[in-house]
Amino acid sequence: MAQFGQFSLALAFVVTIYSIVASLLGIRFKNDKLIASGRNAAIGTFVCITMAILCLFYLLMSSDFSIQYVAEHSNRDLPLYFKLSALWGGQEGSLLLWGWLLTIYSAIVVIQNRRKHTAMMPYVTSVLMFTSLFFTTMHLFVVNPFTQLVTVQPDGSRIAFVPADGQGLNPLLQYILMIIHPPIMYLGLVGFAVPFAFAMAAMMSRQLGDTWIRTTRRWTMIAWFFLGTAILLGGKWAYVELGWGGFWGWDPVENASLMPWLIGTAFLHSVMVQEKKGMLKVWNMVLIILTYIMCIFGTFLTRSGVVSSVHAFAQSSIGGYFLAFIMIVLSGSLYLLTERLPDLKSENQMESIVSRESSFMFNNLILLASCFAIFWGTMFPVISEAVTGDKVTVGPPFFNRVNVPIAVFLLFLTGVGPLLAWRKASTNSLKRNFLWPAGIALAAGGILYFLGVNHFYSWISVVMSIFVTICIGREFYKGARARATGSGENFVEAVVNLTLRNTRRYGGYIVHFGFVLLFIGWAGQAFTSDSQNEAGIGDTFSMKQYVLRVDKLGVEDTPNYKSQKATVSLFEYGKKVAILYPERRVYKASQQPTTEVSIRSTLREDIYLVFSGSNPDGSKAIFQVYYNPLVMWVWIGGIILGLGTLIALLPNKKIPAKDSRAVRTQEAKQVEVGS
Amino acid sequence: MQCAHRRQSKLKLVRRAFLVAFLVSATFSFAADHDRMNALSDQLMCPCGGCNTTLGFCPHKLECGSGVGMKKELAQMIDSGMDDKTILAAFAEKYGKQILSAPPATGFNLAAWLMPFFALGFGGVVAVYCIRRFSARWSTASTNTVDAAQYQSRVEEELRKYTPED
Repeated sequence: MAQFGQFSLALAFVVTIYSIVASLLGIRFKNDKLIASGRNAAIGTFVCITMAILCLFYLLMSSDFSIQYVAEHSNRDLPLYFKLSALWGGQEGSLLLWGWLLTIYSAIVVIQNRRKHTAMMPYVTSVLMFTSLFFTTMHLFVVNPFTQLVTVQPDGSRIAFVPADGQGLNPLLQYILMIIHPPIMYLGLVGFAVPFAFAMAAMMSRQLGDTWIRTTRRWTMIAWFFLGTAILLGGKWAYVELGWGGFWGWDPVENASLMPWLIGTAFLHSVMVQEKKGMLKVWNMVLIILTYIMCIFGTFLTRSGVVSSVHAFAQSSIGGYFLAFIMIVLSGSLYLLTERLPDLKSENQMESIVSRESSFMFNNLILLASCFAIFWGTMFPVISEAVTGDKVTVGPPFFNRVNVPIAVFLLFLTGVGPLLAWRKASTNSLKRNFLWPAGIALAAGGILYFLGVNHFYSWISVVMSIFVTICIGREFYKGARARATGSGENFVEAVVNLTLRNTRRYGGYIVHFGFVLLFIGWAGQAFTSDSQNEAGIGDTFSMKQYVLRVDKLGVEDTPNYKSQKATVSLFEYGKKVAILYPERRVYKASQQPTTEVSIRSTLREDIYLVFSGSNPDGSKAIFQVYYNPLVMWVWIGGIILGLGTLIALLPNKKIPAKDSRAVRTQEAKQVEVGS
Repeated sequence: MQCAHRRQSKLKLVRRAFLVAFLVSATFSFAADHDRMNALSDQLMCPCGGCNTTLGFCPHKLECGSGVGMKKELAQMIDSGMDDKTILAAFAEKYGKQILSAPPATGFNLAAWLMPFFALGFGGVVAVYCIRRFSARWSTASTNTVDAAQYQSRVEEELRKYTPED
């Protein structure tokens, strides 16, 4: 089976090269058959890589430890579902997954557009297949997942070696969300290859209107959605599995996923200006190039060992290849951009600093500044060592101090931006739109201050959140009221139809609301507290208004791990509200200990209990208890953010003509009254 | 007699006041020590090398031998009355500068702190300059009056709000 996998990779390599060559020759000689052949070859690459990944999956399922990858990332007692996640638990497998998802996207793109954008599509195929070629080369020659395990004899000869059992999957990856987290992450990272390919194709074919933007709008949103979802799942994993009481630690791997997401967010906003006003054409090209580069850079960062990370892949030699690929892509795309600069002139100009266009510009600026701050902080240890020879660490305190003020300003723009008029917002419209929300938010801020919320950034985050929520709520209310009056729909129906009639706009508002909830969750992090307690059976310890009582201490032995388990009753103001089961496991294959935390989540706070171990004489267990306010808002915010994105992806619903007339008449009346 | 009694009760009151003051200050100093411990733990990296996080957040808890040792060391320094700056300097000297969770704002490391804000400021200036330049060019080229521009923006805004397609 390993040979078949190897053969599939070799075939994919050849077919990918053919696809690039056929597409380019097809353009050169205006030969439609060659172009179609290149397109079919892209689908062929997908088939080949699919065969390779199926082979690896089979080898993992059959515990074929003659294969190095299988021996290093699984063992016989590993549950089947974790054998699936072992497929991407290591360097070789995860890169194969990257490459496979890219071929899936490529196949869908070429099939979907086989009769559209004829001038652009052969270039799109070439660019996608060029990226695929890089990964296929890596699979085949650098990080081959089908390498046989061998031992080196004293005389230097190598003989095949099959261990009795494998080393097992990293225990930290043995968590249910880890089965879906990496594929979702890669769906996001790889997804940005599609708009990038269209952008490059637009420049190569000189089709520099907004066709490429309109064609890739949904692709960009899909990639953005997956990347955002993966970041949140990663946060959930860190919160539940790492046992340090938080969900975001500014680890280089986390930063690597956040950077392309931030620039991707800037791109999603900026393309609207191009669509509506024909402006920022060069800027959009720059943004999509940067987004794609950051996706590759993130992959490089987690695999090169350039920076140390809690969950990066082992150090390896692949960093150099990635760096070379990044340099090729960057120089190629920037060369193309400079060549096409004269054709990328704006069709309109900015008219006022207080307008929707300029708010998008500031939003872009803030997102890029945040991305730069993260990039700079992540790479600063390397830069500092190169310049001064001194090793320094740039940890969470740096990122928090630098990014929090930037993020608060971004939150402000989230509320203000969508309500500003295109071209120029008048003073009257500013007053009309913002006076009440700002007044209510400030009044609420005053009340919160007297209630004890005096941590500045938490306070301003909550005040801004209230302001943005009112702004968004008013937009829904005004639109729904106009609809309800005109069409006879009730208010809820009107809200639903309003949203479905303009999914992009109202889906966007829902995304912004999700962002607000995320902020509220983050604001709560300023009020966390924790304590360490020694306790035996029957002993109690407290945290704020809660009392925890140890009811039972026991051990569990499974084929995969041994664990010490505690049963702890949680009382709030004397009333039993939950039973917590924190665990401390030692995985047999790797002998690695992990903590399995137990959490009681409410909208107000989380009680997060960690079984840290036993005291030196073994008579008592040691528990770390964390009081984490508002964490659930982060997850709810994430879900709403995802929901809003899905709504924005829907096509606009057409309303019946009769209703449409009624609504428009009413809306026109509204306008007259308003004026 | 009465005077002695009054003096005794006064003494008792003073003693009680001292006791209360002692207990309150002990409680507060314990809480302050706990807060200081937490704050300082966040300014130091865990030296175990496996978690890549701050001492306060090391997920390995009691398994992290080096982290537990360092926490004890930190507690001793706090108890001995050292101030935060001296404690951090002592750790930096013993373990090297990389034990600090954020680079000290001195020398080349100052660049770590300033660059993001410099980039933001620079970007902001460029953005404002571009908008002003473009809007100046627009206003000289355009014959519209301010009222017309306001009217136009309002019409645009209303069209945007009430037309079915965005």
